[in-house]
Amino acid sequence: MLFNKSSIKLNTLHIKGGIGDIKKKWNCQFTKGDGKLLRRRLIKPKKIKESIEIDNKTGEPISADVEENIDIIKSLFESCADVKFRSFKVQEYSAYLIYIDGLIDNMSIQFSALHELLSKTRIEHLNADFIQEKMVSINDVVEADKLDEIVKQVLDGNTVLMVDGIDKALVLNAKGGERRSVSEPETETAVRGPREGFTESIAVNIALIRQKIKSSHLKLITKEIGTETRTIIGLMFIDHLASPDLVEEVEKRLERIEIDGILESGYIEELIEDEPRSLFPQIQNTERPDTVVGNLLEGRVALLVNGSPFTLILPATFWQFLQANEDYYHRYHISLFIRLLRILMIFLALMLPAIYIAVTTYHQEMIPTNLLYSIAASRESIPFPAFVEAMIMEIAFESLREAGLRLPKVIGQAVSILGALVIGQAAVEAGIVSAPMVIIVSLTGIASFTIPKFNLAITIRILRFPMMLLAGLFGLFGITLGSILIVTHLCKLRSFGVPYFSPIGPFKWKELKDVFIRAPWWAMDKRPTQTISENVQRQTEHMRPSPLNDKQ
Amino acid sequence: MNKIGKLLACILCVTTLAGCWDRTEINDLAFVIATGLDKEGENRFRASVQVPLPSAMGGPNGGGGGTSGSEPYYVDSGFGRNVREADDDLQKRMSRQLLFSHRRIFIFGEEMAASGIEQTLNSILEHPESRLSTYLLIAKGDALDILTATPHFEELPSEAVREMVKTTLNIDTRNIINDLSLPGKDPVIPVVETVKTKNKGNDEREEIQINSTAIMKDDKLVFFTNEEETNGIYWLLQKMKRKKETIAVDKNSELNIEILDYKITPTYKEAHGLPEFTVKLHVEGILLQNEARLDLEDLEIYKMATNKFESHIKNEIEVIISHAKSEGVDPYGLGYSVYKKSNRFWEKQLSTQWRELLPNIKVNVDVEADIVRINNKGIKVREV
Repeated sequence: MLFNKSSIKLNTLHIKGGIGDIKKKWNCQFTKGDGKLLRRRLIKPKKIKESIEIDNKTGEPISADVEENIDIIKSLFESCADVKFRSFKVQEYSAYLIYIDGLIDNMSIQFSALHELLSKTRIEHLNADFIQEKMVSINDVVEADKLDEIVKQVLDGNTVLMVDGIDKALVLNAKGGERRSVSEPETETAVRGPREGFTESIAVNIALIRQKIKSSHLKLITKEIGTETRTIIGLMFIDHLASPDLVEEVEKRLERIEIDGILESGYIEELIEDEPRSLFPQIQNTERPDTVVGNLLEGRVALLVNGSPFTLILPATFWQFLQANEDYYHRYHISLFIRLLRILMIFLALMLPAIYIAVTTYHQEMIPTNLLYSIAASRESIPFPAFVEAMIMEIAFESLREAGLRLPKVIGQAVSILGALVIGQAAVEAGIVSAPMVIIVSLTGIASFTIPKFNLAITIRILRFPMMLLAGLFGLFGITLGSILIVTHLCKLRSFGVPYFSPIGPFKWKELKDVFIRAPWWAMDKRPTQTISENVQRQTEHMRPSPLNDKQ
Repeated sequence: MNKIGKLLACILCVTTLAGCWDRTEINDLAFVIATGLDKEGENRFRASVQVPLPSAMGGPNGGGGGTSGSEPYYVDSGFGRNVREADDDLQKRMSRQLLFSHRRIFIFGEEMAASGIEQTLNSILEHPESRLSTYLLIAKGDALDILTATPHFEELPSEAVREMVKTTLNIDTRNIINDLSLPGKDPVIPVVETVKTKNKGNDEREEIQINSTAIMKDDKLVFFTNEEETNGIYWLLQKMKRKKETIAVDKNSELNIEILDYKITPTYKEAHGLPEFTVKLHVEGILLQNEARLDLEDLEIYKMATNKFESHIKNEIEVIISHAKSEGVDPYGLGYSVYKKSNRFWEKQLSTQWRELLPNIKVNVDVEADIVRINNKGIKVREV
């Protein structure tokens, strides 16, 4: 039945799309079984994959007649007012500079190319090599001999020089244009640690990493993804640390992507992660070069995306999201305490409202008697059950947070006043919510802010609601069920072959020194072995500062 | 409807139709914090409960205002042939479900205690909401009077009683059930009574006091101890730490000593088929006040002072042991010490007739006391 229905649809699709390939592809899936198709339909509405029209005219070689070339290119760039064609004469030969305004470095083109070309030196025999070797003083010059290559280079922000009588074009790499300068990342501020953060330019970002790892082992593989945006993706790793299988797997997954545009590394994250339906983030992102370098040194892989200051780090484990870069910069005592505090706080952020609901509606005997009196006293005039009360407050809190997030700062203040006065105080005084519930919700909010990585905090925020529902339905039994589900899911999850919950499940005693606590640097001799199998030694052993060590 | 739709519908039904199993909001519960049980004739009991009134306990709006002047708790009694029936009787007058899991004290009336408490203890044990950490007490007179008393420090009388038991005898249901099941040991239960404040004239208020203990024969009350005997019980049951003793040195001057620590060990010798006990105590005290101006650095004077201290303790202990012995009761567990050390001797010769043998058994009390710290004797109002 289902099959028939689908095949009818398929026909209509076929007619609409007009592409034979689709039918083949869909047929292929039908043989795999209806269940899979059904799932696929539910998750993702059926979409016709339209092949993007590429004009093949540009595949032609460049002819010696510059005017002819320029005509074709101009026709390609029709209605692109930002593409400039600067015509001039090199001696008696007419020449053109093609570039996009705002993407090039005007100064260097002017002084290192145009100025030289227009100078009155005598030229015996004008050809591409001569220009490249004797005239243009730009360091990166490449020859191009296809029209489509010229188009591509112009779009990439290069300047293309074409001279009459030469069947080649010279691509002058003098990229410029306005970019945000390197500044302190706002999402990951640190009291102690480097103040630089990634920018939107991948070249700058790669340089920031390279400045920290001065080793030829640091490798970079670049790719272009996005049929329209042609976004540059940089895959960075240290070749004797990151396992080749991992790099290969990442490359394979990147290869699969066929999309019109990548505007943020979030696109890539969603397209390459292991379990797309999981609430838990399986790839870490950061704005800080030092975090990236730290992870590269532990054998992980970094994915830089042009146009986004957020670099992806993979594979990621659950505990990575509870680690902040500052943990490694301060002396270890405070890091040790803060790590434990975070574990407690993530538990509270997930469970506290649920536990409150469960205990007050099912297990009153678990509350200390005197606390019970005050809870009972404040709940006396509340018209809602504890579950509804908690839901009202949590939803109010979440919407306040969302409202404050995207508003201009000036209005943001008004929101916080509204929140504090109306939700916090007036609701209690009016007897709509009880004071303990306000405390619970604000404590939960604060707890969720202590999670250093925002994407895990989001997960916890979402999971809080099903936990509350379970607590409201079944009490502590429900909370236990929910926890079992979450932990099972975490243990099942993998990120690029690495068990998500490691080193707790599977348990590795030696790696616990960087999970619940942060061991002092002199004790962390070995790298975590999740991704590394060779070169595990990080530093010489027995580095603990001690007068005994000095005597040797 | 496809699979997911059906699943969603099922989940929706479960969550909305089933409701929440056994859900009880806090505002639908009456927390019983104290129960009093009195005997009202043959097989008829009165169970009184004390329930705090949340609206009067100081909520966000300062107590709701509706109950101005009255106490923040409510006491009511039910009648029945056992505790459960009496509780059911009570429930008829309660708009909220009685919840016993926060019960902190359980008081037996004097008459009730005299007729035996084991049956009631059993019914407490059977009740899933009961806690073994509840304090059991026996009231002088009716238990109901304790529940309706108005101690002034705490908002709730039961809270006052609980705090007082904790600092004195500190014996809860678990201890009493243990004692009942041990061979050669009888339980001791703290006794609570209402007293008037000792102010002059009309300024007399009702207060609650714990100043005595009930000596039980199995589960039946035998007698209440007097002040001296109570101290003896405290000594024997290791409750004397951090308590103070006043010892007369001569006619007008006393020594005040705080007990820092002490050790008590019962030993016995077998003689003529009967054990002869020696209860050894080693006491360390701190001198708090030296009214007699004794120079304790002088060995002679020190010995004199410690002798007085020792004989004071010895007297307190001997009084209660001899009184209990004469009644055939063993609150300290002399029999139990035999049971532990020489089980065969206990089983063969003592266990069956322990109560009859007790009055004839000799018990020596051997006290060794030290004053390990003294106050600064140099401080005086005037140099003499």
